[in-house]
Amino acid sequence: MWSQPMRARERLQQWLSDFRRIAGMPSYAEYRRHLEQCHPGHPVPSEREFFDLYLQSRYGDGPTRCC
Amino acid sequence: MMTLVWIFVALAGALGWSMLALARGEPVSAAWLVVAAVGTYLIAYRFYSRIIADRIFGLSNRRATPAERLGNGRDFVPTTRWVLFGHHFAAISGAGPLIGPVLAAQFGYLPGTLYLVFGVVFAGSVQDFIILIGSMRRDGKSLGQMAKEEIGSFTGLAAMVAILAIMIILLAVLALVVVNALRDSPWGLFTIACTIPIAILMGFWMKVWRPGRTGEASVIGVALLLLALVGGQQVSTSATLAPLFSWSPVMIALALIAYGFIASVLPVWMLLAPRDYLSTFMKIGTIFLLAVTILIEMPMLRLPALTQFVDGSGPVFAGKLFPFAFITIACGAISGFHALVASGTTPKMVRREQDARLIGYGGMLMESFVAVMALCAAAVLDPGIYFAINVPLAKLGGNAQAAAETIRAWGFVVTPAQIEQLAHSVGESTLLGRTGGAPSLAVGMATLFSGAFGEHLLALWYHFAIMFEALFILTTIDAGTRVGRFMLQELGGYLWAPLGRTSWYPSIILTSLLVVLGWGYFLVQGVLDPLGGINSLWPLFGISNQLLASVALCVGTTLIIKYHKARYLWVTLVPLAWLLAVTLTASWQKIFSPERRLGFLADARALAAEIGAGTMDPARGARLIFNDNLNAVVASLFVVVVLAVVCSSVWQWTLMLSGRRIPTMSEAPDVESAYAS
Repeated sequence: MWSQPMRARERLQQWLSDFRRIAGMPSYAEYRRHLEQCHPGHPVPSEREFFDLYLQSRYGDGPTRCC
Repeated sequence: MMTLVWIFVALAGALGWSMLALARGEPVSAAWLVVAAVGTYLIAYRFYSRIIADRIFGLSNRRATPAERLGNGRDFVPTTRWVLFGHHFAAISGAGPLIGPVLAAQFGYLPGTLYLVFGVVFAGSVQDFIILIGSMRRDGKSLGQMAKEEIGSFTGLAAMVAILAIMIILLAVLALVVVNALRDSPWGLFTIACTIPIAILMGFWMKVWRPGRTGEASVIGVALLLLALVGGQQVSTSATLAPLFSWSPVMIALALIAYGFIASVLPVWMLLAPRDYLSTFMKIGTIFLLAVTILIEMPMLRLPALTQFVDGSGPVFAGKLFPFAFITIACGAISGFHALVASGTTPKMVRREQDARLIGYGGMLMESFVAVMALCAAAVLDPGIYFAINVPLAKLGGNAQAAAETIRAWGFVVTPAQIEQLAHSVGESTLLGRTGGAPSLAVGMATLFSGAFGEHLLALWYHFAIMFEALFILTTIDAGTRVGRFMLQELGGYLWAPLGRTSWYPSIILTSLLVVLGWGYFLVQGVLDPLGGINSLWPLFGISNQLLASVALCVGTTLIIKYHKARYLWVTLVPLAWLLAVTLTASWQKIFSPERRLGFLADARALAAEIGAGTMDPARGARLIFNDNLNAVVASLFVVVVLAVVCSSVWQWTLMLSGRRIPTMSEAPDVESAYAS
């Protein structure tokens, strides 16, 4: 009984996350998941610190946009 | 079964092309143009891109990509291919593919369509794809680094100087497009001015108040943006506010220069990042809307297939069909700039090697499709209206009456009342001589949109289209000035080490100032140019962008040799030869043509004669002569740099092909992928 609405909600979240990725927006949740999977025990930066890291790697150097 | 599908696609494409070919004189539906283009894209994607992926580079899902090996959850992130396709497409598409085809429509719709479709299949997509592969196999190295490591350090330095010079011209010409779209337009200027406080508000939202909540900030931003668009109408009809937002071209140009400087100095989160999100949303939304509208409406193309201006007498810009149609089309067929993105963020996100075919080759096909739609939007306009908007005022005559007569002399029917009525119905005081392509594209798009969603909204759609174009041009100005600053800092660092420190404020301010003054000079020159500026700056931009593509193709050719696939060299050498033929002919003509409208030096001589005869103010004449000479020097500089790159590459190729040098590559290691299946 619960499974159908949950699946719809998950799908919506997936679409939103895809859309954010297309627009080049950061995902803190995915970053945490990555850290937990690949570097267990590594201190997890706060969302604020993560946002700074993200801005640096996205706009730090090189063009991100075309004419 | 699949064979049958592909035979059907091929037949549909062939039918589309034959409908275009057989329509002599009578209007033809835009649907055929779309069918011909899409059919050709699909065939090219299915068959041609496979040759590059499988036979030349042997892309293999068993080989781990940098996203997998170096994944850090920030920039190196394995991303599913359709999502990355969208991201890459949003990054490569900008104002260029929208404006180029609109300007090139002065030759008719056929030359532009042919070059957009076949150019992208054999040149543009090939370049993007190969550079993406090269960078992906080198942990996301940039084009400049690849040129340095794979060809030689001289070539790397030359490529970097070329990129910086091109950036300056690009920013100037795009800024000029914005100036022409917003001059004396309170509605347009108000809406665009509002994007600055909106972006700053978004910036504070996602950095200070709700750290990291970019989604929330974007929803607020888009809502406020649409509000500003509607508010613009109130401003344009208000007796007190309208004059405040009616600015002259020079004022807008100076404001843009100041804006570019401030945006480059401010931290990224405050202006650049939020604006980047806003313009990406608008871009994806509007392009989707345009595609749907064209498919629903299937409008008739009212522009002829070919106009008499193929002989070089065109009033929008000077020069014959060859090479100037190909120079003007620019980004929709091949764009050197894409090589910078294909070797920037995208290669760090590819999940499996074979996905690169959809992202690199397919992403560029999509860009070409956008350009084809822009061409449709220009071609649904009455030809008379098209020329009334796109020809500089000095050539049309000062008012609607004179303009209608000039245009009638070219063989296109338009009445002064029609011109004035159209300007009124889109909420502008005048559309005459609004050169640069953006306004006529906006009229075309507004006509299409209002045809599908209600006639009474024409003015709102027009300003929506203007806002959409100006928004991402301003984003390019932000990002471009900043990138120019980084490059200048890196080059400056060779001379004096502290200059190279990217976060040292004196260096930031100095280099930002140099970059904005660089493009600002060309912008002001364009604004003051009696022929409207687009005539001289757009070809310079087209030449420079395609010369950068030549550099990218040189890198691509080197890679093919190093993979020992010399029998496929034609894949990059054919487009390279074509680009060199087009750009070198165009540069030669822009510099040395004896015709005043075309050749920079001829114009300088004519001006000198006018000063001598007393028909030109000496101070103004001297300034115009200086600009002509400067443009000639810039064009020669592009040619010299690129010839240096090509010659040094050819030398390396001969050494490797004759066996006198053993090809070595600086590839990342081949590691087994966990995604292989």
